[in-house]
Amino acid sequence: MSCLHIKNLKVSFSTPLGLLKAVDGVSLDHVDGETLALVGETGCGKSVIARSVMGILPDNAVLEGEIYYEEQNLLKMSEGELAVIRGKEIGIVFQNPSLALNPVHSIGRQIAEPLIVHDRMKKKEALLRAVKLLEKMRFEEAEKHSRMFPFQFSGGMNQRVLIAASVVADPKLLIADEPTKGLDAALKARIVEELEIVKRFNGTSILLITHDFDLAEKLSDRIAIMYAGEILEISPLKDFFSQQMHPYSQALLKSLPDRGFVPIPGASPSMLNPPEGCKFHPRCPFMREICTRRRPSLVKIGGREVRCVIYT
Amino acid sequence: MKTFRKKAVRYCLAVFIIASLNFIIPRAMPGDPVVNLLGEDFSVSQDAIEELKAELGLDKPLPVQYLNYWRDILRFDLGYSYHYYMNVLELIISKMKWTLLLVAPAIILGAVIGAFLGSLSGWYKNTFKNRLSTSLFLAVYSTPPYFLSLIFLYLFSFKLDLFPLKGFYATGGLMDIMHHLFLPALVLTLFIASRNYMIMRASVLQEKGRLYVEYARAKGLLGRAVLFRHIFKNASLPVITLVALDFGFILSGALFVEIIFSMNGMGTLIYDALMSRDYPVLQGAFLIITLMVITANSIADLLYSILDPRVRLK
Repeated sequence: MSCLHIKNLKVSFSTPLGLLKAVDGVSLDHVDGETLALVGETGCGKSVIARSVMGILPDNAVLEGEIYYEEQNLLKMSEGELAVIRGKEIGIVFQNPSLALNPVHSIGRQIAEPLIVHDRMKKKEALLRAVKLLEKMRFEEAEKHSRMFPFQFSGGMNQRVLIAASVVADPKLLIADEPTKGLDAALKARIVEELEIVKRFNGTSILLITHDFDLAEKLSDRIAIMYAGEILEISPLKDFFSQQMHPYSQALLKSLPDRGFVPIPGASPSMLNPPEGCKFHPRCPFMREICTRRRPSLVKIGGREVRCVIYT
Repeated sequence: MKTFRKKAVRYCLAVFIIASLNFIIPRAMPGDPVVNLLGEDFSVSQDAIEELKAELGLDKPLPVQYLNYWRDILRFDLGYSYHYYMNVLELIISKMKWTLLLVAPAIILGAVIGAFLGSLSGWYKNTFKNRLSTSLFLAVYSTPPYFLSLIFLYLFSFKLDLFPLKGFYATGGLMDIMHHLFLPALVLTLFIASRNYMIMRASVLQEKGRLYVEYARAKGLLGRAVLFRHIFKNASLPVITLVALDFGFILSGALFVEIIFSMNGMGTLIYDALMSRDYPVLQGAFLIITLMVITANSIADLLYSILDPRVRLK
């Protein structure tokens, strides 16, 4: 069973400079209960996919394709129908926790809010549930913390609060958009622990969006590599780390500090007028003539998928 | 609590400085203080002037006068008006009652209406209804209150004969007073509401783009619930500051409105005192209005700390 099924999603933004193609034909199958990591450089369109699923893109976004959540096409839904799903069926954790929390509401209230909105719970009861959740997430003084405000917390604490608020109504799918961005190693470990608690206790499926391979390795079952609005490779975690199929995946891993620190030549392409053919061809060491003309399609090889002419 | 004490000290200091200025200004003015006190159209003999000077303590050295000045203030003695033949404090209180009856409802209604409509207009920025209301409020905002008063007076009282032309009351009685108050209170309310409307609108437009708003939607809040549960409190903070800062401005606005509607309140009192150079009344009014503005600011501080935990807990 797949809980989230994205089919040929295209998202562009109309800007004064022209149409910016942020997501260019992405298809994904998110299996129930799994953690799928969507990995790519900043600006490759990862977060746009997250926001498309939630239906909270800015007004200048143009969407094409289909996003199915449990057989319903989210892109065909009205704002009212989506509101029922948001926070209850699908939760999201943003990358700037201190900005995502409301500065004038208490932590407890913000965590309890989805219960009040969706389950019509009494405020007192919802607050109690919020405290219980904080306890489960190993907050030392859950009761006291629930009465505090975001400005009294560090970024890492706020991130944990944000995760709590996003899973309090027990969603089937949690989208975590760069949940460890800007956090030090110790805090990162807490976030990993917290997400693991969510997975274990609630069986929540997680769509993990990150540029941090370390995090993806710790949490995910499968990994999808994105580049310039496209998915270049999807592989089970183990297979991916033993051998990357796409030249970009290989180059990306090699560019990490502890795996060689070799930078990828060239720069990420402009999303306003991306290169013809394979988008990675100007930087690819295995580039052939055909790569400049034809965009390869995603081909299945065993349990993996890859978008490269080498494999066709 | 500590910040509260700090603020209290600051307010006391402000009162002290302003009251001291109030002592210095009339004494620094050219001319004979007694002549200033009585007004130029009084002619009194030199002996009588000396006698009056001694009686008022004006023959004593300045430091002694200054101490006596504070003694009088602490005894609630603001002096005597030789124009009204009346104790100044009593005079001011009798007029202030009426002015507050006009201004207080206007401030409260103006704040509520302005904040509410302004936030809706910021939220639904591009609908026809909101463009219309924004243009209307902009028109009111850019019209001086005395001019608006004149137009309303001409239209509703003179032409349509719906409201009385002048005064706070004719026969007394609640309905009669409300009938008289309606038009000037409406002008003031519109004036205050338009200022709050503009600030609230801009504030909501600014808050709307923040991530916590997006997150509120991601939690499943819909439409106006996002506005009223999440944005409103954040966006209303500048409005509170504005209302407090505006307090003095509102009182002076009320002054013009009172004069145009020939209402016998603070506005008319100050205007007449100005015209006849009734310094004890002017000084007294100055002091009382200062105290009111400072009180309004401290109330705003209090509201701020209730609404914003960042102010309360820091």
